[in-house]
Amino acid sequence: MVENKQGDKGDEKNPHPETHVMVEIVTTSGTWPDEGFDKVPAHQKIQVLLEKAVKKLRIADVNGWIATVGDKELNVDSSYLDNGLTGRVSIDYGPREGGGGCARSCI
Amino acid sequence: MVLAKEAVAVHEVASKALFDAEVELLPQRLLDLRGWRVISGTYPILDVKFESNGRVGRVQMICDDWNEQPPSIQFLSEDGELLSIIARDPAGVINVGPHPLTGRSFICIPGSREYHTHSSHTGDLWDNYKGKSDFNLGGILTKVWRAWQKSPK
Repeated sequence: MVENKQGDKGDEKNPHPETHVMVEIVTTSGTWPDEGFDKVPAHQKIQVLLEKAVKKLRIADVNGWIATVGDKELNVDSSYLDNGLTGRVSIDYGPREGGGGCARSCI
Repeated sequence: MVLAKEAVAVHEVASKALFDAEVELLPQRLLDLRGWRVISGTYPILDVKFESNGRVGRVQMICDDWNEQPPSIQFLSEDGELLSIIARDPAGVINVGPHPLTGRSFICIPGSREYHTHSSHTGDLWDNYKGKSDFNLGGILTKVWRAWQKSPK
């Protein structure tokens, strides 16, 4: 194992793990940033950029929203690296489907 | 009465303006990422195809009186024919039905006109949700899309 100055542990194949990722947040109210991607520390919690995007896009309430990349739901309280995200990342942010209104068939 | 007609006309103008603004807000980046293709975004119809892993779905939201009323949501075939029966998703967002008014499968969550007009939910008023972030046209369509993704092929 190889440690860099930040204490990140790389390996022999990748002695210098990525310190940053390029991220865009995509919602039905717009994207953040407007164009291109934001360069963020790979060890930063995903929640940090989500909060920034929500504020910039003036989304009032994100209670129950989920962040996904492809079919994978992310743990937003963990970092990009902990979520296995590297390089260029497009995060889809929006409400989950919720539960149906009827426990049984609506009669 | 002239005044009543004028009021209706003004309301329809406002409804269309809000519809147009919300449809225009959907970024192309989102459409590309999700595999959404807008077939029609002309008031009062928002008609969107979902394309994912070789599978195609199509949803039509009839948004007359938006957002005083939630949209009426129905599934179409790929070619645009109205579908009467849709398979239920695990969460039950898609209710096989039939809905007592439409006679078809329907979306059974707040934000769907069919939900709020079903006798089991008439007490859960649309006014409780109107204007909230989850309940603009994009938010409602997102929920329907997620349920569709999880429904049987």
